[in-house]
Amino acid sequence: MKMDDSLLIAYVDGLLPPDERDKVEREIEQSPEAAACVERLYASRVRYSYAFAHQKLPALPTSLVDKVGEITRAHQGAPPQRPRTVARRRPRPIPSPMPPTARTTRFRHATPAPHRSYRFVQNCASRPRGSPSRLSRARFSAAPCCASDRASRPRLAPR
Amino acid sequence: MTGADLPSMLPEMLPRLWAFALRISGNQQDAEDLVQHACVRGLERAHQLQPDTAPLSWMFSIVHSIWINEIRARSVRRRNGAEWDDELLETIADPAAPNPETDASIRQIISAVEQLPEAQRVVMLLVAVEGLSYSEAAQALGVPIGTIMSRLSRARQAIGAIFAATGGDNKMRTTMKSKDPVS
Repeated sequence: MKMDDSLLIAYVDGLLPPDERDKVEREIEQSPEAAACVERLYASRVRYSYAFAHQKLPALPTSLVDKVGEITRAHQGAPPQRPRTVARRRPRPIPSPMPPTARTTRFRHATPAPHRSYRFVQNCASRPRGSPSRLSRARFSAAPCCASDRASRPRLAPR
Repeated sequence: MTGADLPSMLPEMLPRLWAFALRISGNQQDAEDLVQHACVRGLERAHQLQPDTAPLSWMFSIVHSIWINEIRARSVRRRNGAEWDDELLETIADPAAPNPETDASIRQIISAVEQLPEAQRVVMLLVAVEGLSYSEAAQALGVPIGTIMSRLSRARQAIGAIFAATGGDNKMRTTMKSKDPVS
């Protein structure tokens, strides 16, 4: 009988109740294959999370924190908390498609509409580069009055 | 915990989503886009978050699925494409690491995980590094729990084979009775 993966892992990690442990040990005695597997699993018992906690990664960019803050506020319907340097425009509903110059990310497909589900890769493949994404629209609607956004954005098409 | 709480939880999750996105994409720009898109999608679908699903593993699943779709769309193989930034995730241990010996062990562990095939590597990142339960990892990756166990077993055997061959490092070994054996 080939031992179950989860049983052997639980065995080497010391998580099996005594009766199950005895069962595994009997199997190991009879099966060199199981014994070799258990040896390797024992050797793999190292402190992964400790090691990865010490991995030097780039710091979380403040720009990302800010963007997620905008996205969250937009989702909650709150106004953006940025200093306003220009007069507020008349509020509009969801803007029409973003021009290529206003794209904020390199991902071409962005977030699909729920009804498109996993078919969006194909859909996106047929979409011209730089065409609008839900994400850029979300960001756009989150900061409609931002001076820097205005500068890089052509006039919106009439709805 | 429901989807309604997600907006208030996102800021706290960001550092872990960022680290996970960096590790799976190997690229800072991609990681930034990935987290941003995942947050948008998470908020859009917050109503689908079930009370018995941990919001963090749910967000990991969104990050992962966006990344999978992205690499499929780009038709590039991980690390073979120009997108992978080798220097970014160079396994430089924290200068505050306890001592040089531990530092070497840390590099060895990270390197062993990085060498795994992608499907196994993601399972190791979720289970052994992020501390997700097997069922949470199954949920995050959208695969049966048996698949998680099988990938985990192959991953740990591969890592064990490396450590057995090199002699490993006993100082980084966990003890038999540890409640948290591989993390």
